[in-house]
Amino acid sequence: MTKAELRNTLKVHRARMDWTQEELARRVGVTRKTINTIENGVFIPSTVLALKLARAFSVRVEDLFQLPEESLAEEIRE
Amino acid sequence: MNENIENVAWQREKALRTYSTGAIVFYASWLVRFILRETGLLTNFLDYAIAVPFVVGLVFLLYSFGCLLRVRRPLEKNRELREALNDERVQLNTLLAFKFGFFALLAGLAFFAIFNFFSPISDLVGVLISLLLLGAFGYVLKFYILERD
Repeated sequence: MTKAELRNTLKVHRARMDWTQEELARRVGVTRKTINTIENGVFIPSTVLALKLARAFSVRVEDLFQLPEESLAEEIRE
Repeated sequence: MNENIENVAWQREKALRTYSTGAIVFYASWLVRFILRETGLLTNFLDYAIAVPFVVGLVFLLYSFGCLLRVRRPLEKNRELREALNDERVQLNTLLAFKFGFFALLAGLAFFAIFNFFSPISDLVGVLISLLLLGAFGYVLKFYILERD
């Protein structure tokens, strides 16, 4: 089994809202380190946490997280 | 609240670092003394020399254990803080650390089994304590490695 890869735009959305990692962590009830590891692709969040993150930014989960081939297809389309 | 989460997380990491250091020093001296005693190479001088890191490691362990208990106190009163500091990443790290501790215990068992071929072990209680400590310290060490920045 290969290690799952998940791309995310957490940093972009955080910058848009002008939130620090700590601020986002507080809003979804986790530690700053958890947000940091998600942003860096080290830790893949559960569905519940992904939904909480999406709700915090008022976006869809798909806007926050993409499979590598999906984000590549999106880049090509753009 | 957020500062409090980060503050407690930092205190926990610091206590784990001290605990891991103490565990390595304590266990290394315990194991060296055990092997020297079993092979009949333990002299009075060596016994005293090994006692120094043994006691230092023990002091580190007791101090950091106290720190960990102190870190736990605010968690018992505050549910939000407790959940944040035991989020899914921490839960995953706990499981991975348990797995590592188990494999460390198996590796230790294999080590003593091979050691027994070359020099029959007389102190079986010592082996049991060694394995117990290896599993417990292996768990804490791996958890600290996974949790540190």
